[in-house]
Amino acid sequence: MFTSAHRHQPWVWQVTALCFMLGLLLAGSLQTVSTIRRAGGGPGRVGFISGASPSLAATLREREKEIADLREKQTKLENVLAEGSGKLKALNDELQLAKLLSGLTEVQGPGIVLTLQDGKPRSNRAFDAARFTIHDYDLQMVVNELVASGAEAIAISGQRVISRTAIRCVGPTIMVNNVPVVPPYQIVAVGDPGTMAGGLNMPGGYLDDLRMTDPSMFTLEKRDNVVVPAYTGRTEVRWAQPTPQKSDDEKERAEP
Amino acid sequence: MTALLPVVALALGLVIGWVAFARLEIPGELAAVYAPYLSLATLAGVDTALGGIRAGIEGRFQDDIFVSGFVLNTLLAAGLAFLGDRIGVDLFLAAVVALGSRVFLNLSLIRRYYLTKLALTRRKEAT
Repeated sequence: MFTSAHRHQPWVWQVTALCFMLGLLLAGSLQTVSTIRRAGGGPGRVGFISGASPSLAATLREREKEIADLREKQTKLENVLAEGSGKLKALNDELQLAKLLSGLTEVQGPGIVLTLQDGKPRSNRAFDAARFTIHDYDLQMVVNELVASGAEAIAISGQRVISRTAIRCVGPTIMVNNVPVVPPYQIVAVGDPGTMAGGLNMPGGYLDDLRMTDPSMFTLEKRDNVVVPAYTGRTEVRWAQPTPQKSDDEKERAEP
Repeated sequence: MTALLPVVALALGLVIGWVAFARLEIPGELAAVYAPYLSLATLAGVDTALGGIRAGIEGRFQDDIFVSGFVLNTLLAAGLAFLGDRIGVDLFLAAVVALGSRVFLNLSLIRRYYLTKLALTRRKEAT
């Protein structure tokens, strides 16, 4: 069966040579995959990392800075315009308060800085890896808890959380205000530091849960002064309109 | 003893390759781009090595077929992966499936050969 001596060669040596090359290739493959893991975690992220253009990201950051600068200038002009006149000053105070509430101005004050990052899974199973990863819903829970604890301004990795902010997962990255953010996620909030830290540390609360998973996944700091940047996204309003103002008379009739 | 030579060579290649690639310090983005090609080349290597062993024990080993098979299979697999990248279809899966199924086929034939040999020697000892 195995005896046809058709151009019989010392095949073992050639297979040996190929096996040596195979070893080189295999080592290269293994090294490459570990390099990728180190660079961006998991082979699933590869396409996204190689697809994102660094120059595009730089342009985006530049534009954001420009928007922030222009809005700051606008605030300054509004303040100058309001000087002297009592009526204008009252209007401007109202305007500045509205801008602060809507997140269009940079604010500072006492607060906390919470840094979240992916933990080190104890095994290679996908289930475990998911548990040790910070997801979009982690950030949502933190923001929810902070707002409930009286935070007055919140930013995630430099992205101000406003009323139109979505925190969502797109493929392997988390998008805040439609801008991708990467770990470690730094959440800065202005408010009463004790209340906010207490809210996060509540028994059975978010950080309690995280502490049981891996305590190295977060650091929480209370600070006397933190700066929360202004929202730099679009402010276009296409659909919402104020409802027509009703007289007091009509209001009474509408509410039986 | 010569049957163990490929295994020794494989281990040696692994060690040398590991050290060499660690020395190169390739940036992550670049690694992400060529990783599929390198993996395909590795798979083609596994396929050719097992094919060579099979041909060898069947006594049909030809060095030109062996070498050209490795080179052409690797190039075709890489070409498919490249084309797939361009047109947005994971064409490299075709190479993975084709090469992978051949790896299993060759391995099963090699296993059969050695099991048959083992059974024959046992029968000889028995008689």
